Order: sequence, then structure tokens, then C-alpha cells
Amino acid sequence: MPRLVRAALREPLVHFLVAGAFILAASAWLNPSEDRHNRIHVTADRIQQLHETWSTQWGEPPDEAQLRTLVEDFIREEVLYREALASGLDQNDSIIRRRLAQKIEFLAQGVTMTEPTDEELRAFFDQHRARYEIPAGVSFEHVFFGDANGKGSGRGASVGEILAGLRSGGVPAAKVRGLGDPFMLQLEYPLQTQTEVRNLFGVEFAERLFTLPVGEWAGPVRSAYGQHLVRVRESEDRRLPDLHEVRDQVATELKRQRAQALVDTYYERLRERYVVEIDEDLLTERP
Amino acid sequence: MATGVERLVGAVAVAGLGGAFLFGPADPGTRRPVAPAPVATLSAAPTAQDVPANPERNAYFGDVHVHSSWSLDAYTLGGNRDEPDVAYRFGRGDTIRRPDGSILGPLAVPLDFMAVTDHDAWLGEVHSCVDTSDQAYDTPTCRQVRAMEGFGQLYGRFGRQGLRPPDICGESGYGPGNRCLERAGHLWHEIQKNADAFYEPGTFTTFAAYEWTGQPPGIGHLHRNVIFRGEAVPEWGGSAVEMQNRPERLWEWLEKACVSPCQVMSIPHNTNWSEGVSMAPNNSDGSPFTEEILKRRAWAEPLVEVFQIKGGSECYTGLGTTDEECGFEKYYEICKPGQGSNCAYASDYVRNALKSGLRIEEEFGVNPFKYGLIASPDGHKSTPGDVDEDAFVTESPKFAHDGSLAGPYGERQDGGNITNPGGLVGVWADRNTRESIFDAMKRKETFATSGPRIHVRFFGGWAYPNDLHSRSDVVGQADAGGVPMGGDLPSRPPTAGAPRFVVWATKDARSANLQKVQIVKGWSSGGETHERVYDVACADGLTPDPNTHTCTDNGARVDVTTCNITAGKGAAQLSTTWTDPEFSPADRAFYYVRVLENPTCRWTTHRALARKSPIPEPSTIKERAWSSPIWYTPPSQ
Repeated sequence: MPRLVRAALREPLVHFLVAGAFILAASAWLNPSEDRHNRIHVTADRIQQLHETWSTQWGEPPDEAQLRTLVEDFIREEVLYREALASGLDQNDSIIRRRLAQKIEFLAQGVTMTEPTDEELRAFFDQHRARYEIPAGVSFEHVFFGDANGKGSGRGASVGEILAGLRSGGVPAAKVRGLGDPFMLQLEYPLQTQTEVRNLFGVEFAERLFTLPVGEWAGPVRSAYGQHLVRVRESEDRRLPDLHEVRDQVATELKRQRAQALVDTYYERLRERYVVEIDEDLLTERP
Repeated sequence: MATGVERLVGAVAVAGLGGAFLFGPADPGTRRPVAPAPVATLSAAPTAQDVPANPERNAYFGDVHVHSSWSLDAYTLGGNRDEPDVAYRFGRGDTIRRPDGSILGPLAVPLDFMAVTDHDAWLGEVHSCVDTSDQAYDTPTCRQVRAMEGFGQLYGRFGRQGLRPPDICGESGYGPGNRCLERAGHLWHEIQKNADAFYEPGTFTTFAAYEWTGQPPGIGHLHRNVIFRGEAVPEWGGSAVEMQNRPERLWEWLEKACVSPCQVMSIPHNTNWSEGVSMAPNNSDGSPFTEEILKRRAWAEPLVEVFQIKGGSECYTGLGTTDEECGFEKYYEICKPGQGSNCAYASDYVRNALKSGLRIEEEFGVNPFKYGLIASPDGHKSTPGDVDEDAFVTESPKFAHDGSLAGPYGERQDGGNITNPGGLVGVWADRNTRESIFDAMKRKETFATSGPRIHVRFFGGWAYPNDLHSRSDVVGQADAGGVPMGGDLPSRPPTAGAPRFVVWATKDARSANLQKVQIVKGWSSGGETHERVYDVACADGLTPDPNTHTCTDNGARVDVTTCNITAGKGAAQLSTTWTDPEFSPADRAFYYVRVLENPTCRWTTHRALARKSPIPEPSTIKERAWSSPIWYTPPSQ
């Protein structure tokens, strides 16, 4: 973050926004003549700043030739910048408007932004634990019976008899698949949330499934398609993760929240300086 | 960061300072973490080889046609500022945060696979125009792009003419130094990176892809999506502009540039907008087919998209068919005498192309229209898979005060009718990996739906038992004794009679019950093509009339003032084993399945009820699914 702030502060456009505004304001005040746009005064402060920027960037001070080049570059950009403003290139360009508005926001938040400490992350995580909850999940297998026959195909056995067979443990795993009717969706599902199950099998099935014991064949359970004998393989309760499981997400959100708070505060301070009038008629008018 | 514009601008100046914090990643969705990894485990994500395979194959649903802000029309007409990564997040089930602060998603059921297909034409141009550091930023054309106006004019003046705007791209023509091509080349790498970054083998499959946006001057649109199987892809060179909008040149380029291990397919769509050209019995410039071009085309294009937000392309009542279910979500009216554009031609419809393909095969030995079927929405708002009729908001057609509707981009399209939320592609693949999904698409074991996740299986063979559909090992037996959808019937044994088909459909638990299952047959006989639609399985204990081959109305209705549907009507599953009652061993033929749901409220009705405005017609729809065909070829003489 500090590196990014430095990057932002180093950035020429920022300098020129600030410097340009300052120079225009200063020269308007000091020299309110017609030709103020044609006068560029490269002040000692400015040269000092160019010097420092170079030094920060390259780790050593510029020599005189380099410094002269920096000054020439500054003048060149200043001339072009003023001409662009004079030609109204900043006008009615929504991108430049938004860019300038954002720029000032970036600067506002950048000044005091630092990496959150472990304690701060922990506090933020504790405060917003619910946000990081991992929903409950169930993995399961099932045997399907269509409404048309309700019996295991070609076996004549009832669903109840098939359930008893499954519970007795006498059915080899490879044969389970063949006990019911053909089923188009999957016969085995890895961990699914209740929402996921509901969207695949319907409300009734999803609600029953999450009440079934683990490891036992149960049912029949109705779905949007028919009846099912179901064995829940594993069940994971909804739980709050530990901080380390979601640390990156927590850090990102904390930083996002802080940045937003900085910008909001800054904006509110600025906003107090303005008297805003809104033509309410057009807001309430229904076309 | 919120938008394409600001993101690029921000990246130039502030190195992402604002992006990471101000807007941050989208909120998490309702998914479970893929692998709730234990602490300090740095083990690699599961690779495709680790994903268990189901030899009987699972149905996976996808959207392989969605645009982000990188597409000129999405950026200008649609005002879309969400980049491809946002589309992938939405598709996998995350919520996304719009630049205006609104939250969208999550999808009720996340997609299993997807590909973002941004337009090739203007890919580099759009990016130059929103990058303040780009020398083209202040050009007149860029100002026009940013002002979000004149899409049609821009596209018509440059892309359709095979030109690039010189003020943005420079004067160097197509050669080196064309700034737009250089930029597009860079973006093509970004497209691949995005697809790779969101790929989770076993959970969420993504493909590097783009939309080849060819539309030569004076004719309709020949757009197709180009989808690559894996990480091996050619360098950028695939834009329709440089190919003068000719698909023949696309196939040629793909053949030359995509060599093993690269694998690719090109999928035409919106043939209903092609003004007779896309599936005409000649090349796109009107020249006659050659065997060479047909072979290349058949290799490159195994699939066609039959349904999307701009309407259905299966068939059109009155254009080569009297099938009453062919009036579904039509975009254009049938061409009137003398009318050449913005109207429907017979050859724009896939069923007619399947039929004419049989005739072309008789002449050239190659069938260029041997298409498997898919659907995808073609949304322009970075929200793939957003196909529910009752929650269709993100494409935001404007709802006019008189109850009529404007077009999908908020403006009425010339001569067109309003469309719909679009559909999905289903594939039968042994696992959810790039290789399995792509290969299933290549072998055409695909089906299309108008939105709901209706499952449909379809097999053909010569000796299936009559009750195969009700046996618990139906898939194993059907595979062993025949072919799945998209295949060719094996050679007919001398003792065999007519081909027999196993048809099986299951409803979407979130949608209405099924009303009936149909088989559509097309064949070529005596130098002409024919078609017939058979109802083969009816809900509610009804059976198809043996003479007319139709189910009687099951009486399912919708109350359009509440969208309640008749209780107790329709079936959760329908299946049968069907024998062609009018088979002629000498005639080339194809068979595909169409599954119809009981009627439900159309999205326009849901919207009208929410807004208490008049309900536009049609007020209801029968959602549906289409299988890929199975073909029969008589033994050569």
C-alpha cells in the first residue's frame, strides 16, 4: 500500500492537477492580466520537487543535465496541459470527469491506508462472522422409483422390501444402482448445500434429506420426480470457519471497508462547503 | 474496480490502487467452497485426471455464448462495463456487484461450464478507446464509441466492409503495425488467461473462445462462436474483419492455425438473422460448394445454436413445415415477395438445413449441415445462464408504457419482435472437464433447452428390446446396442427392420411438468426432402393416436393473472422405446427429439404482473428441449 501511494504521488498527472490548479490560482491572483496563460514560472519549490521525485525513483540525485531535462519535460507537459484546458478538452468528457473525481478519492484514502494488523483482522472477522459462514452440506446416494410403477424394475419387489434389503446390508454396492428405475440425474452427489439440492430435486426432498441419519438407507423420500431411497454418506453442519481459512477474503473486505470510509468522510467534509440546488420538479415528474 | 473504463484508466495511473479496495471482489455466492482446504495446505487444485468419470455420462449445463464489456455492442448499446472475469464469476454462482452498486445473482443453479465469447471485430478498438493513455483515445471514432452511439453505423462503415477505423488502428492496413490487431492479440492472451483462471476441473469448466462476427455488406449475419478445447490455441489472427467476413476463410484459418494439440469448433448462431445465407446450399458469396470446402466446414462446425435471446432457429411454421410448434419465439416475419432483408427465409431454419444437408450429401458425399443442437443466451450483460422467465432482468429490455416491448438493447430492432431470456446447452459427458465437455460437443452428444434444465436422452439402434426405456440398465444397453444422440445409426443388419429409438426426458424440478415428447424425422426421397413430427410419449396416461401420431391435449393451462398452472397435469418423466413406423431403407434420414413442457407464463407476463401493466401476447410459452439428431444413411449402391 505505501508503495502504491508513493506511485500515485509520483504520478505526473497528479502533480499537474495539483500544480496546475495551484499555478493557475496563484497566477490569477498575482498577475490578473490577459497573458497569464502564457507565463510559466518554474519555481524553486518546483525544482526541488522534481529533484526529490527523481531521487526517490532512482536512488540518487539527478545531475544538472538530468535536472534540466526534467524541467524541460515539466514545461512541455505544462504547456500542453494548459492548451488542453484552454481548448476545453476536459469539458463534457465523462471519463475525465470521473477520473478526476476518482483521483481525489484515491488520494484521500491513500494517505492513511496501511495493512491491517492481525488484531484488526481478528476484530473485523469476529464482528462479521456470519458473512463467512460455510453452509451445511450433505453427500448422498439414492435409488429412484418413478411414480408410474413404484416398484423395482422387473423384480416385483415393493419399495419397502427393497429398503429392507438395503438395510440388511445384503446388496453388493455394484447392484444398488440396478434396484430402482432409470434416473436421468446423478445417482450419487458430493457435498451439496440445501439450496443446491432444492434446485435439483425440489423443496420436499431437500428438507427431508437434511434430517436423515448418516450412513443408513432411509425413505422413501418424495422429490419432484418420484420416490427415492436415500443414504446420506456424510453430513457437514453449517459452520463458521476459522480466520485462517478465509484470511485473504477478510483482509480484502476490511481494506475495502476502510477505503470506502475514508472516501466517504473526505467527501462529506468537501460536501459541507457546497450549497447544492436541485431542480426537484424533474425528479418527481413522471414522463 | 467498477468499469472497463475506470479499470483501464486506473491501471495506467494508479497501478490498481483503487481497484483492489474500492470495489474489491464480488460478494461470495451461496456455493460451498470447492475444497474447504485444511490450513497451510498448498496442494494444487484438482487436475482433470483426478476427476472421477461416469461411463454412462452425466448431464452438464452450460452457456457458451455471452458477451462482456469487451464487445463493442455490449459496451455501446448495452452500456455494459463488466469485464469477462465478472461473467465467469456470475456463471459459477457468485453474486456480482454492478458499477452502479446493485448486486446481481447468484444463479439459482450455477452453470457447469461456460465460455465468454466477445466479438472479435472491434476488440482492440474498444480497449484503445477507453484507455486515456492510448494515442487513439481522442480520435473522432473513439469519441463516438464512448458516447455510446452509432453502433450500427460504426460496424456498417468498417467491420462489414472488412475495414478498421484508420484513426484508431493506423493506416497500415492488415499488416504489422496495425494497432488494433496488436491490441487484440494482447487481449486474446487475456481471454485465455481468464478462461484458465476460472477453470475448476470437476466443478466448473471454461473455454478460451470468441465470437467471429462476420456480416458481409448486403447480407445477413453469419456470426459463429469459436471455442478451443484447451490451452493450446493459435496466436490471434482470427478476426472476421481481415477475412472479409467470409466464414470459408475462417474454416481455412482454423484448419491451418489450430493444429494438434489445438482443437477447435465453430458454432453458427442466429441463423434466423442470416437472411437466407448462413445455411444456403452454396458458399457465402453464392459460389457453388466444392467437396474441399464442404469437408472443412463439416470438420469445423459440428453444432448449431438453435435458440437464444434473439429468437428460435429450429423451424418456422409456413417455411417448409406445417408443424404448429414452430411458432416459438420468432424474431422476423416471413419474407414478403420482393422483401430481401429483415425477414425470415426457409434456409435460415435448422430443420430445413438438416433436410437440405441430406440432399447435399447425396450430391457431394459430405453433409455440411450435420448439426448437433445447442442453445445459449447470447446475453450482452456479462450474466451467463440468466435464463429464468420469472427472473429475467439483467438483459433489461425496456418496457414501454403501452405494454409493448423494446428490443434487447433497449431499442426496437428493425422489423424484429421482442425476444426471450435464451436457453442453455446440455451435454452428456463422463465428467466436467474441458476434455470431456469439448469432446461431447464434438461428437454432438448435446441437447438444447429454452431455459429450464430439462434432461433428455436419445439412443438409436436396430435391435433394442421394446421395453428398454424402463430397464434400470437402459443406458448401458442402449450404448452397447446403438448410438447416442449426435451419432450415425450403425450399418443396418440384413435381418433388421426399422430403427428403434430409446427416448427419455425428465423435467426440471424448478419448472413445469412435461406435456409430451416428440420425434422429428426428416428424410430425402426421390430428389426431395420431407419431414414428419411424431408424438411418441404423452403425459397424463394418454397415448399417441396410432394413425395421427399425436397426443390429445392434456388440459394443462396457465392462469396469466397469477401464473399458477393447472395442478396434477403433466409428467415428471416421460420415456418410450419407439420404432419408426414409416421407415424406408433406401432413404437418408435424421431423427431428433423435442420435449414440450406444460405451458407457463412467458417472461413478459411476469414483468407485466410485477408492473401492473397490460399483459402482451403471447402471454404463455411451452418451454422445451431439443436433442441432437441421429442419422441414418442407406448402404451405398
